[in-house]
Amino acid sequence: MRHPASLFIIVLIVLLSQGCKKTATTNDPIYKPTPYDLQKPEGFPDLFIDSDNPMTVEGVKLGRMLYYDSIIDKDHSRACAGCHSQEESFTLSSVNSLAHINLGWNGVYLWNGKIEGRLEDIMLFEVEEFFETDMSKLNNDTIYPELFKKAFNADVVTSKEVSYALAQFERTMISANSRWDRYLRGELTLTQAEAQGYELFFTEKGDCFHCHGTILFTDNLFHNNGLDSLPEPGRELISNNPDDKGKFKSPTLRNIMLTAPYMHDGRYETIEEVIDFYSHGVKWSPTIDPLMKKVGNGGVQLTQQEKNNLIAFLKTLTDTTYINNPELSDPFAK
Amino acid sequence: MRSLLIAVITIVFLLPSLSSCKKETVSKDAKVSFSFNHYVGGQTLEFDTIKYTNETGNLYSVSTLKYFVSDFVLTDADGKLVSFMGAFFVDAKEIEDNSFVSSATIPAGTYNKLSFVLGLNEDKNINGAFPNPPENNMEWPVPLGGGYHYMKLEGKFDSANIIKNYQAHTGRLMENPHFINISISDLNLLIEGSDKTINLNMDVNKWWVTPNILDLNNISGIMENEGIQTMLMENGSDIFSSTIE
Ligand code: HEC
Ligand code: HEC
Repeated sequence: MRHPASLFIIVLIVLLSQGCKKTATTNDPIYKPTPYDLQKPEGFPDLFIDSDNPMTVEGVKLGRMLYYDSIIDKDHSRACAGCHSQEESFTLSSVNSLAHINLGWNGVYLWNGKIEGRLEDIMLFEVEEFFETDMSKLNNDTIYPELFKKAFNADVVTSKEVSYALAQFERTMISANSRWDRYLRGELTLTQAEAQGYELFFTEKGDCFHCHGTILFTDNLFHNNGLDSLPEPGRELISNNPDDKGKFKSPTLRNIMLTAPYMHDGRYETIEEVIDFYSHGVKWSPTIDPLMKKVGNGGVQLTQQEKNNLIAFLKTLTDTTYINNPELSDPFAK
Repeated sequence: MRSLLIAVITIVFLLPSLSSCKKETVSKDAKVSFSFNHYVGGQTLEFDTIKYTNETGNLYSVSTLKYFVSDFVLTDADGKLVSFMGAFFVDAKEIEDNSFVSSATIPAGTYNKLSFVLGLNEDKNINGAFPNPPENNMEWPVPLGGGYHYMKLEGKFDSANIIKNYQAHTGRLMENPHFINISISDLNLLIEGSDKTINLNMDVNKWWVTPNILDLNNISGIMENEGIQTMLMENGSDIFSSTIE
């Protein structure tokens, strides 16, 4: 029974001693960043934002600058945007990077799901392991220290604040204004080809929805979709579970027309090749997903007309307001 | 400052003794938790291994088993009902998620009967009712009537030395709901003060038999197959048995 009481006292002492500190450092202003009102699009899942990294105007602004600044790279050669370009839905065809789109709703990151958790966790990985960001550069910079102070009240910039700022900016990268979204909002009607493609996608005839379903067009789970008869390890590399061989994260199909090449190794240059694969190129392997129903026939066996309709539907997922959104563009551009 | 600390300490020390006074009047009511367990022909379900045999003789595995259960109702000896509305999602692979505790307290008494729904009744099977993962991945396509899959049971089987996939996906097909009313009439739940767990044990093999013998060769691409949806609905009524802890 003593514990709760002593805990209480400790908390009290901590509170009191913090109160003392405040008066001692009057010339060092405590910044109160401005809350950023992030709007969740209608029908999307709830956005979970941890209370230790609330969205703020200052944090988002700082994250955007860092995203577009090669200062983040140990040898100063690349910024995030160097491989995640807005006009390609934040991918880059030459490196087949994964799109940055609605990642605020992801819980697993990278093709094999190496990083699980919050956006803050993948950003910490990018900063510490991928870029090995040199914190002294940021700390000795002429503009950044003040911006970190304003956003996080940080006197010393560490990889934590860098990844928190990047995570805040990533959460604002929301695409919910494609032709499909406007159709859902009743703002337009689909063409006949689009409507027939939609039916193929969302019935077992084409059967795409089981893995690329929901309003996000991904289930954020891992599947072996039958690309190879001797698949690469994929998810098995992370889980060490042989049942995970050949499994990769289902990518979102939002803005899919902008993110060629396709698949984890970029093996398909065009969406037509992807549809041909699902139609008659699916290969059996022991871990193939049970949802690949027609593997015995090599795929879902679509006619040319059906393929065209399916592609017409996939095109409705392109959101041009997203790739032109000035809030997401390069803040250093003249 | 010192007196404030003492006051705080006194309150902290006093609290437990205050609540212990109450104990004498404690009622015999208690909470129940529902725990879902999965078996195939009496063995605990082990995923992704082709080793189970059903009535037809298919040698099969299970790789996914996810479903909704809802509308739990306990009936006591006098016919009084205690109901827990709302739906609960079970993913048999995520063991720790497969039990839930009723938030309400159950009055003391003997409960002989438990009924619940496997799936979602028409009031609950509404587009967008479960916007968050993992439930949102159960969405049932709008062109097939919308709402949610009641169950996704998937795996592989050996068909004359060729390994094939099966997917027992059940749901409402257009205007035909196929949710399953489960009724357990030998429950023997005695509530007399201590919390209880009702283990609900699904035997996957029972999906393929009684009254309809199903061959896994026919359990693929069945979402639009009214005949198979109905047979699975009929077979599902006896898939659960129960034990009390
Ligand atoms: C040299 C090119 C390159 C640069 C620079 C780059 N990325 Fe990437 N990024 C990739 C590639 C390639 C992938 C996919 C790799 C994989 O999954 O194995 C990827 C994947 C990601 C993902 C995972 C997305 C998902 O859907 O799982 C995130 C998040 C990400 N990058 C963030 C960043 C951030 C933040 C920066 C800057 C700090 C950055 N990237 C800089 C190439 C790059
Ligand atoms: C069993 C789950 C599953 C089904 C069903 C499925 N996919 Fe996929 N899809 C995946 C996975 C997993 C990947 C990534 C595979 C890889 O790169 O190894 C993928 C990749 C893709 C890509 C490439 C995305 C990119 O960014 O590179 C497209 C396009 C695609 N799928 C479209 C479709 C269409 C259209 C259908 C229906 C005909 C479909 N998928 C059915 C799981 C599935």
